[in-house]
Amino acid sequence: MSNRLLNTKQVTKQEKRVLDALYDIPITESPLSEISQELGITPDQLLEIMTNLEERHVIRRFAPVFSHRALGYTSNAILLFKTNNGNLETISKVLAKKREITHIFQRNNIYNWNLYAMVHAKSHKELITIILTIKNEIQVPILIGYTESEIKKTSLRILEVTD
Amino acid sequence: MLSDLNRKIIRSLLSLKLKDEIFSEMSKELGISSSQIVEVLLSLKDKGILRRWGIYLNSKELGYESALIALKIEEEKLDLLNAWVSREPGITHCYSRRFAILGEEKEEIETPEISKFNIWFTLASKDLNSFQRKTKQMQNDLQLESNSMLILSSQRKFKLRFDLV
Repeated sequence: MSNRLLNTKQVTKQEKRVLDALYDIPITESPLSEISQELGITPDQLLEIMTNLEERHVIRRFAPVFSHRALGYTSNAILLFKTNNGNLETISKVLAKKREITHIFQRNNIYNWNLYAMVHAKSHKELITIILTIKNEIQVPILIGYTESEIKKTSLRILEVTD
Repeated sequence: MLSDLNRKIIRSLLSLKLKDEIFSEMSKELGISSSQIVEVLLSLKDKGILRRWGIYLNSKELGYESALIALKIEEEKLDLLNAWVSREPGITHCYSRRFAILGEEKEEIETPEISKFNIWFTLASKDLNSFQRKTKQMQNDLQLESNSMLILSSQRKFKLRFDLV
């Protein structure tokens, strides 16, 4: 794998190897020793590199990735809101408190629907209930983009993203 | 559906830090051995419930450019779109969407223009230049009018967390 795939300004060659090794770790009783052995460094060195990458916010978190669908979250939607300086904070705070809301981003555009939230539920009925609860709390129109079909779902692996 | 034990293991997994003998505390708490936990996790992975276990990258810190993109595209072009999306590694999520508005009962709200965008996906690329090259290429390949592609870059992140179990 060549370095041109990554902006080397941000990470060193060794860090890149660590990032790649930590993307999908082996499921064993002691994954740390296994990974560090593979990389030819000590477990402590590996943790040190990892902590440093976390401090630089290159690594956002270390956690399992579950399939929403396999866990039963089969009804999903994107919610769009038109907010202004006056209510952006309030609305996003209401949304952020909901466990079922996983992503909230401000995205400005010519149509002025500038706040985006992803909501996940186990049934269409549950999805509607959550959205109605939100509607009650915020009192502004909600544009609901129901997921009709999934065309693609993977996760970003830096080494694959080339020109 | 998941058994109670599997659900407990999944929940505990969410807060684990990478270290040696990673399952030792979890094993005491749940009263099962580490090797049993490994067994359960391997079977969850086998079934596709656990997609992977590892780091989430901050693509912005790596200098990446990414955005949510919405397209207004005709039914006839969907096969072409599917092929384009599946071979582009920078596209990680892509959905077709149908919109409905939840407004005030009294007031009539016109159908917003943005609800005519029927395909929504995320695109990441290694820098702004290559990102722009890709969106341009997509417009050309799929013969999209410039107002049929809406690039929604994020100005601010309020929440990004998936802990639903």
